[in-house]
Amino acid sequence: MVLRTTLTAILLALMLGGCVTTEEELDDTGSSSSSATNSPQTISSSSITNSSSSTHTVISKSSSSSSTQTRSSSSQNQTSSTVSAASSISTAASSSTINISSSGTSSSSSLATSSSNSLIASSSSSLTVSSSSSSSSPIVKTIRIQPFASLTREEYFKPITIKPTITYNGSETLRYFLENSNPSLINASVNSSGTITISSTGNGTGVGVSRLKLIAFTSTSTHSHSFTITIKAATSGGVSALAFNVVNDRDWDETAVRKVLYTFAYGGHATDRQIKTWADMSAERAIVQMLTLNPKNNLLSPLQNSTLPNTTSLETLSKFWSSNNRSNFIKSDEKERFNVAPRSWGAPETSWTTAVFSRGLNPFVHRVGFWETNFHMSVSRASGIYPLPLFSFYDGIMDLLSKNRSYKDVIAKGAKSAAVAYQYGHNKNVFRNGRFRGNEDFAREYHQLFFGILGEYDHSYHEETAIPNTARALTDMRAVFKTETAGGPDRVVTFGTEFHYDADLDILHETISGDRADKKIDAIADIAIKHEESLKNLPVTIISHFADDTLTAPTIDRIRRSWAMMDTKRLLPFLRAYAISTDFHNPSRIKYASSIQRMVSTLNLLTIENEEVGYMFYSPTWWLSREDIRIFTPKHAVFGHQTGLEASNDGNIFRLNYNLSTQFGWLYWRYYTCDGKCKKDANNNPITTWEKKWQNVIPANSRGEYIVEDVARWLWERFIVDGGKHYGALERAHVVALLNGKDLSLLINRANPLAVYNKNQITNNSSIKTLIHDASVAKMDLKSSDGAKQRAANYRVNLAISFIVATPYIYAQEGR
Amino acid sequence: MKRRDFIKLSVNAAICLAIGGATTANAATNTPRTVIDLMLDGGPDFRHLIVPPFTTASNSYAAAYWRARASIFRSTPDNTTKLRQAYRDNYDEVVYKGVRFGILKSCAWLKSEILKGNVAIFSNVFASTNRDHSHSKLMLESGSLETGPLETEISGWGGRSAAELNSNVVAMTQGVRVVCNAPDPLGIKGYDNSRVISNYDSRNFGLYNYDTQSDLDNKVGNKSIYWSSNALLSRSLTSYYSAKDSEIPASSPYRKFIDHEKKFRKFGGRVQNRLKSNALPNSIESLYTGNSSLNSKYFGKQIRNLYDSFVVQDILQMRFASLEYKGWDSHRQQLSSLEAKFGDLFGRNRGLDTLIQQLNRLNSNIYNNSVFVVSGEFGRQLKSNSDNGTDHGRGNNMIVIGSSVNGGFYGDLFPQEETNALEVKNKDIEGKTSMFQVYARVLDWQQSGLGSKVFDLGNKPIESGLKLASLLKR
Repeated sequence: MVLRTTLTAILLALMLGGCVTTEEELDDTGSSSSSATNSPQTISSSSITNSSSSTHTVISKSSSSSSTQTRSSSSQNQTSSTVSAASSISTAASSSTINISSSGTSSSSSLATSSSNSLIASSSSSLTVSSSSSSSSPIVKTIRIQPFASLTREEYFKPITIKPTITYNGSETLRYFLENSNPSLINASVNSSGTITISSTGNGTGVGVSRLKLIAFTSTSTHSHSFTITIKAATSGGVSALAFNVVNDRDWDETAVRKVLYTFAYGGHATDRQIKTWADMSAERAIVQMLTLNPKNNLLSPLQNSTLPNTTSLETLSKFWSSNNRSNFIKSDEKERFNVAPRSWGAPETSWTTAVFSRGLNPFVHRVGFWETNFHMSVSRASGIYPLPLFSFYDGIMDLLSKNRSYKDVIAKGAKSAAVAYQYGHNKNVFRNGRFRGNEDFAREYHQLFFGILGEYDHSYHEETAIPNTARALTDMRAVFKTETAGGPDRVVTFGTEFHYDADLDILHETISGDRADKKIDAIADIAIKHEESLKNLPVTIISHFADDTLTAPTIDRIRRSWAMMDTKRLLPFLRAYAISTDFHNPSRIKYASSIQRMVSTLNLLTIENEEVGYMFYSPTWWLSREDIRIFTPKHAVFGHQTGLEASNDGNIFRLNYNLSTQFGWLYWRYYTCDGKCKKDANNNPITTWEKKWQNVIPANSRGEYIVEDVARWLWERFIVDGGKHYGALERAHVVALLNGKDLSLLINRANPLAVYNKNQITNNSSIKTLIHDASVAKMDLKSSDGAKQRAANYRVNLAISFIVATPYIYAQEGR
Repeated sequence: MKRRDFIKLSVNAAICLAIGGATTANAATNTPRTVIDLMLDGGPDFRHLIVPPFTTASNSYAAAYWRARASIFRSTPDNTTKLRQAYRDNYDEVVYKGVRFGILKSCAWLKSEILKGNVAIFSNVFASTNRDHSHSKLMLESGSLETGPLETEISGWGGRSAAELNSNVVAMTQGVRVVCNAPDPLGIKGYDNSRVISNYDSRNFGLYNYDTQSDLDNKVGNKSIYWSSNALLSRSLTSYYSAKDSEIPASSPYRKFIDHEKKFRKFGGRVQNRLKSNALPNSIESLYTGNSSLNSKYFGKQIRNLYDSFVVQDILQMRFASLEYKGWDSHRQQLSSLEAKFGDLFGRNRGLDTLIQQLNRLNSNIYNNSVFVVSGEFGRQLKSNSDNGTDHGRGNNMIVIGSSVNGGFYGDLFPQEETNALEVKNKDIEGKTSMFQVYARVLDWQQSGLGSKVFDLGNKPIESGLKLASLLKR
């Protein structure tokens, strides 16, 4: 088919001021050959010749305007700021030419394929890019989004809008690529008019950017069409702030970084040096390195002495940890806990905690996995969900998340799982002989729990039409509860047609079609993710879960707007944007720690190396069971696990944690082991097989010494993560005393061990002050060549930790 | 108007924990009037507990009921033989105050309490605007239909009543339910739980406290165990929390942890001493241990906690107790899933029966001065689904139990009009009486006028002809 295409693109760059610079490729390190200045601001655009079917267009922002026009004015108001200058792009594709010309009052100029061509942005106007081609279909266009190193935040979060108009004969496909070495940094949306059908991921107007940033259109008529591609927050090494305000550089410090790690990665495993490096970077760039959904993140969790499988799959990890692989650091007598078998009930939980603790994996991945499987799309072992379907459920969800798939796809994946089917029982829903048989449990909760649609939009319709029809959509999902000898329950659902209700269904006021349940589940997800109630509730629920028990109306508004502005909803960019927002780093933000958040973070930060993980010293399964908490056994079944608020209100949880430090503190005090009963050397010291190496992570001073004062403050920050906000005179006095091997009363007056000392005495009584001061400047033998001394020093560190994690400040995190 | 705006605080705003006075050897003779809230999570189907006698009489509620619920009993609607047999197998027929009905055989104790006149059965009650579990529970426990779906930081009606009575709430549960929360006297936060005492593990109530004094008395010296890790940390944290009490203001998010420590420190020793001299009755212990334990050992432990809380009621200053029983969302296999649960609650020598037997031995005044309120966030549709269960419906029943209760039926137990819409898919049940009206009457029994202080009863409906005023004996 002969095709004639004219592309008209309007580049709309909204500038708030400052010069915009673009590098050739995205560069997370932020290196840039040009710096941002206040003016003039430039957008450059050029084209690169591609194969016969492609045109490679480069759009960059550059301060080194090698051509065209200069922005005439700037605006502090994005809504009124536009581009006045224009250039044209012509391509040397075999039969394709793209011209960029201005529209409105702007001038235009032709551009060669040189990358030096640029557009100069200005306000109050727009650019038009037009192109014609007679190449054979499909037409493929690529826009390379350049990195934006060294730009100010305002500069590189300007939306760019491209409005091509296509004229052609017949039905054709246009594939439009937005290319960037890290596509997850690009948010793109498409609004179409005419009869263009968007055929890539997502329906309707919402199409985002997948790994190759494909936006595909299928034209179904011979008319000319226009459409708009909005490239929002195309960044270099940074992340879109969405509707959030990004924390300023002053507040983006090491404590801010640690708070992000605590909240989203149980504290992470990053070195102090790495934390400082992130604190020194812009928040937008740092967060891209900190929070990834790749199986490994070497900056967040440097690999130690082993090669771990490069996977987010708990099942694969569990098999590895149960294996005799030489890289497996799990001790022999613990490996059985990881066996993957139909009735290995503890394996998913043990694997999950081990995945969080293992240096070399990505704890953020499994923090997200916990949210999805223990809160958002909860299933429970207590409901009889067997380990293998549970593994498949977790792994399927995490696989899509690690591929940056849209959130609706992730949710639909969970909804199609065997684990969820067993949980709610819709694996027995059938439509047979003209009659529906089954229950409406998941039909309700798919809307409510998975998408946040409660039915307030139309209560009667939702209850009497949407839910019953959804139950019919869920028919013929075959998952059979086989016996163990038969391999155990089916791990995945087989979607049948025989007993499926195959007619169209009215759900959420849309027509849902599909001859199998999986197709209908996907179709429901397409509309549910955009439903007004989902837009209202789902993002707020996510943020509330991760980070905020005191959401304010303005914060909720920004959360909702941020979610809404992602045409394709994705969890990672949403969490990243929030994690660097002023809402997260706000002193008024309070997040109470659930038992799991507190315990897993504490034990993760107590862990220094994988060898400890291998001994399963800190496997929290037993520790959490004291508080009657089990991973994959949510307290409220499908409604999710214990929340931080619940934990904070429960005096019994406080009691148990308090007594853990005082009565059962030995759990915190493992600083050596002998693999059994210790033999003694000639000096009557134990012959150990492993010893704690606090000296590897606690920084020494410039003279190589470990001073109590420094160690105390470092420990407080490691476990409490408050920048010393609550490290007052009282806290300091107790921690310093314990690092000296005494409690405060023994330090001050051993004849009166029951004395209570208050802040006033500690700060004003000169003799007490002197005693505490002397204790604070003492040196610790953390690096002593004398094993006994070193062991004693390690013991004292652990004593101090036992105290710190029983203070009120372990139970909640403030934003600042 | 928001509930938190409505609440009137007459209590001392600065001191939010009622401190027990007497340390008598046993529970006081004149026990205070106490409300025990038993929440059945998941939407309990009380229509399965008390049913119309089986009949085939056309156009009757009973006939419609049994046809509509045939799948629960693995029958078809037309198999009258099987349905009649199901009724005979599962229910005892009772006539009380002129009403003939069936009650689950597994609930023999409840039947006897009904016949004694100690049980008020409310029909067609509601406490929610929808059929969403989480949201409905928030509305029910906060006592306001205006409570939003994500509004978890809010006071509950039990907490508000305890605040008005300057008493405490004792939670027997793992976790503290919203119903227990009092309003924040400072008006800063949505709620305050400094009056809530968590007593989930009553026989281990309190904080570990290393007995340094004993070491000192025994002159064990420097090498003594009071240098042990347990001793160091016990003294450190005791000292620290004691000193910290005056440092952390009531507005601080960390205050609640200071309060937790304070409550355990204040009550722990006294509670433990009292309980040491009051051995736990075997019959209560057997509710959560051994072969004859309840199906829910968790509920059995709560019964223990409640029993012990009555033993130390004067110390804890308990006027409101919170219990829960989970798992009532009976979309599937209702017959097996619900009957065991109802049996745990209401069976002979099961949960409540055992508790009350033992409380009466402890002090006969306790049951006289206690009212048990048993309810859930919503009910179930009259028509069962094809998975042998029932789906959500807003309207429900609730039960009030106590020897101060004027037993009987409140509201139309078998409303004929419900049978008219049985073929409407997922038809809702519209309640006629606000559950808040019922709770308010119970609180009025605790203290005159308390109900209207705790609930905004302005336009809350009461079913025509229902005489709430006579619910409780003065």
